[in-house]
Amino acid sequence: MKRNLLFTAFLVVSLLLSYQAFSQTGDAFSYIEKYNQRLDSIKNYQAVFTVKSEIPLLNIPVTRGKMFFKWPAHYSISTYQFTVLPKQKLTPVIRFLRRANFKSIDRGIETVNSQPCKVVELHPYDTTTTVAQYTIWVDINTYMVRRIFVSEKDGSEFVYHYSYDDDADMLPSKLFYTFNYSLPHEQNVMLNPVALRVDVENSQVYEGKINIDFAYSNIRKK
Amino acid sequence: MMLQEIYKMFTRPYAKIVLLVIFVLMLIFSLAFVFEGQEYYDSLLSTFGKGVSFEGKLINGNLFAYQLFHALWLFVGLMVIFVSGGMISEEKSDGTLRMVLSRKVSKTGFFTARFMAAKLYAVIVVLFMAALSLGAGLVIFGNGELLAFDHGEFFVLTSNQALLSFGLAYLFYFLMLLTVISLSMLFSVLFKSSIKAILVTVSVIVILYFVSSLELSLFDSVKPFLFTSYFTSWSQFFTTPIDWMKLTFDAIVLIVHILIFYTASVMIFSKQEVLD
Repeated sequence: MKRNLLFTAFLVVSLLLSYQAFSQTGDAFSYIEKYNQRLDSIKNYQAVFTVKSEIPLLNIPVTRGKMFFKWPAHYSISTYQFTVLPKQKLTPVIRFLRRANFKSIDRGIETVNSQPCKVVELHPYDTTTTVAQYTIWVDINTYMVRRIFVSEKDGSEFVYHYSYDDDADMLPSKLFYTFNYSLPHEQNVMLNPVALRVDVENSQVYEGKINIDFAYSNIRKK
Repeated sequence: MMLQEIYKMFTRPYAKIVLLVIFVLMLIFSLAFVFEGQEYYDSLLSTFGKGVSFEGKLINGNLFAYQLFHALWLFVGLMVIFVSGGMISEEKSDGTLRMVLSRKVSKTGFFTARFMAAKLYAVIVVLFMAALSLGAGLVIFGNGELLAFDHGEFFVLTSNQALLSFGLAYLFYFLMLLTVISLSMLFSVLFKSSIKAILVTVSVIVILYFVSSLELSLFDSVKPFLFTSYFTSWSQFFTTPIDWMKLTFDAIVLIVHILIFYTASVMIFSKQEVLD
């Protein structure tokens, strides 16, 4: 009798715990889904963007370009000059993330730019992918993505910081992107055929910053 | 006499050979640039490419001219010595110097005319290089931003900035050529054999340039006094912001060397006895 009671109690506790875990997982990813649903309501838009970069060892002047979006997933970019953009260019990073492909963990609530945000950690099930982890800060009131941290298996880390104006709705008015990289020693010598001097520290990790301002026009919703 | 010297200068076989060699080198380089230029730059930019992507056309006439300049500057500098190194010594060995000087020509006037002819030749070499690299490059590959590099750092210059940088770099390169020419003419005055004059000039430049390039603290105190330490300063016109103070100083150092070599040559030459 005692044993049966103990087993029933264990079963109930286990069910409760697993339900809690399941519900927490579901809640966390639902923030991303809600963001994507809202983003999906935009049929098309175009934007003029200005890129200012601050990348050690790479000096690029301020450049401008145009961006076009057509639902569901047609993004095109044209730049007037040679320029540098974040890894995923200007496509929203988490636009195509699907629940089935990730284990999501709820990391609670944090404040980003005075806005309370749900922190969602995603780990891909696919072991062949280069991404090790996404951490996403989603505004709990508006479902706007405020920050995305991407960590790759080789140690590379990228952070996207988004700012919004009221009139652009779900589309960011500013993107501040940071990334890290190291310049191999051999590459540096090859870069510099004029002088044999090497004044760059071997395998030092540098942090690059890219600031992009957007000015939208012709935003059409479904 | 000036025109006569210029005519003589350009009828020298070496003068034409140098221009021909520059042309051949440019053709060889064009092939490499067309077939492997994009791949080479993609691999260079892949260093930053892990976290970033690049947009825009990189392979263009400016990049072609820049790379060609990097590939040719030292060769051309050394080849010019073949022309200027024999300018006085050849006349000595041929026995024609006595005949030339027997006319109503002062030694200083004669040397200055030769020096001016060599100077004009340097101008033509630089213009020839510019026309072949920048001119042909822009016609074949089109205009665009220039991805330059200096001391392990990349600089993206707009097409207008690049044009200005090329102008200034070619001007500085002309000073470098003139330094080489004036040194070779000094040795041309000192030696009777033109081969000896050419070889000594090449040896001096190679040794001094080698010392200038070495990253050893042992030579740090010597380097500012070596004119070869300023040979690569032209590449700094492709950086942003341009260090005008440093480049002006570098140019002044080269000009002072040119004046020293010229004055020394004139002094030695005017005191030399011209014998058959």
